[in-house]
Amino acid sequence: MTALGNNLDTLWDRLLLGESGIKPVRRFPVIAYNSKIAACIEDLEPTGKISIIYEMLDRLFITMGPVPSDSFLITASTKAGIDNLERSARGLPADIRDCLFSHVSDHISIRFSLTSGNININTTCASSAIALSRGASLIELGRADSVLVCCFDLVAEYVFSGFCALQAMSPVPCMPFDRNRKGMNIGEGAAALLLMSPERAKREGRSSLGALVGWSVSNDAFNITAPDMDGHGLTLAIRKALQRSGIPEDAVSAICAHGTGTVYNDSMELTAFRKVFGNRKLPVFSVKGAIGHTMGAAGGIEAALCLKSLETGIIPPTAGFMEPDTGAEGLVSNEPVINECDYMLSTNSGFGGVNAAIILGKGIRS
Amino acid sequence: MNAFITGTGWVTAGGEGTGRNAAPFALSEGPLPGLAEKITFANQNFKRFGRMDRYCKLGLKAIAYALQDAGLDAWKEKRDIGVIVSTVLGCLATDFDYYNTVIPRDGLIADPNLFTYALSNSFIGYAAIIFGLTGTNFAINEKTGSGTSALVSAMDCISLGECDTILAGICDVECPPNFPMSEKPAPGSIFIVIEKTIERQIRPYGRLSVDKNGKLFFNESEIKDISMCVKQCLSIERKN
Repeated sequence: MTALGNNLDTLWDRLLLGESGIKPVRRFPVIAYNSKIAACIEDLEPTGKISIIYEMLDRLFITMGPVPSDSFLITASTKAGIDNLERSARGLPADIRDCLFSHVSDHISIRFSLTSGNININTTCASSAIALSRGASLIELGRADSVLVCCFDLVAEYVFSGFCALQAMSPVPCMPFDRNRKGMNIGEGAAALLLMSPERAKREGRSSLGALVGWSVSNDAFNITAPDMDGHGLTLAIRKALQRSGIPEDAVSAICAHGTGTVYNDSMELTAFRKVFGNRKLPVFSVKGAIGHTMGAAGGIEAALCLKSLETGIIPPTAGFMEPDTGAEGLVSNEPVINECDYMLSTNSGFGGVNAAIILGKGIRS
Repeated sequence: MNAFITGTGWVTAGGEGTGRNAAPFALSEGPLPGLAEKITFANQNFKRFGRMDRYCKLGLKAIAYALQDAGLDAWKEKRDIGVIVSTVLGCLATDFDYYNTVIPRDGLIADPNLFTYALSNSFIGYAAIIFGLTGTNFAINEKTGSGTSALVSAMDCISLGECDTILAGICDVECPPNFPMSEKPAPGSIFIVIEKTIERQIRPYGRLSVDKNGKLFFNESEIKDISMCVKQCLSIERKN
């Protein structure tokens, strides 16, 4: 679920067309803010006292296949039903429990009759990449053989105002890796990914859409809101993810970058990629110019897009990218690129200095 | 998988401090101590401490105590040490405080400082900066304040070679008044330091292990939550 469609295929097609879902915000007043745009899902509007997160999740699950009831649930969200905190603070009717992550996780557990428990990973923009990593860890350690990872975050005044107050928001649709970039735009979205051990997937006759082969999380230990410009923390995460995967650096053929469109983030990422991959002209793309920064959902949506990219052999264009920033020449494109590859790297970085890197490999159709 | 517990620190209604200082410990209802004052560890003054929200102060202070207890508070080079926290409410109280700065003038006077604390992992970021911690780090929201999610995840990280040293703990400030929750977590923060191997002069409290089903054991006795783990650490410390 994103501003560019309610399923992966629609999102993929519209990404390839270079479309952007970043539009003027109508959900709340934006007159006081330097930016007035975000990537909202059309017709997702509040009704009654229930958070719209549930409507988003219900739409997401329409296209979701069967989920084994013994799956462990890991959700990833930074703010859950934050729209109801807003309503409550304004004295409007609201079920304030929607602000509790466990409340939303329980809703999903009930929806799929899951019996193995749930947790939420809440670590800024890296939340869902970390959730995927923990799911893979549970499977690798033999503690679970089926894990549902479900990530979601909303465009709400709370978050919008915060990023505006930090002067991180762009007044125009964001331009990742462009020399004229002016900041980020937030977006809303959700994704669900079912992880299974190869044995379980085979036993159930399921097609594998891809494999999560490497992962790592690091901290810059540098600044709470700004990344370490020498890319040390992200470099560390990528190197450790490669080490875990057991694949050589040159087996990675493309990168789905965090690419928020802020001056500091994009520059830091290019530095880290250069440190790890040298001067290789590795295709790098960002979807933030198309669907905005979906915060806690970003890594999950991007992982799903990486799987699509591995399947089709196409690197999607980076919407909003026009003039390459220093270091982005020959790496980032605003056109789709044919690139058959076996492994892709996906990275996310966020507040608190956190960096996450995951490596995804091609799937096997059963 | 076995690992050593080498440090523990806490800030609870029952007291604050470290295991080796035999500080009073009780994760119980009541006002939390010491969140207004400045603190210094390993000769480092936490300059921003006074500006932090209570959730951030609480978690940061407990981490500082735990690292001090393990003899890991002083550093010269950044270290591959991880931090995982379990929290029920996260920064919910700060969320309300921040949004109350948004309402008056439709966001014109929204407080950017408060917004930076409006994440469950903010204090981990500060701990990373202050103590040079570059390892695996994340926040987990769990239903109860047991801390088992953080402990098990920390053991998993060690098992998979993601970290050799990691802090795991809990952090929750008081639940906002009238918040409809049947089981409110006791306010407080507790952290323990878990190490795969020990290459310096320090006596560990004991061994932590986790079985395939995610059950936790301290010196082979099952533990149901982090509070129980700390109590057993303190019991061993008293015997020594």
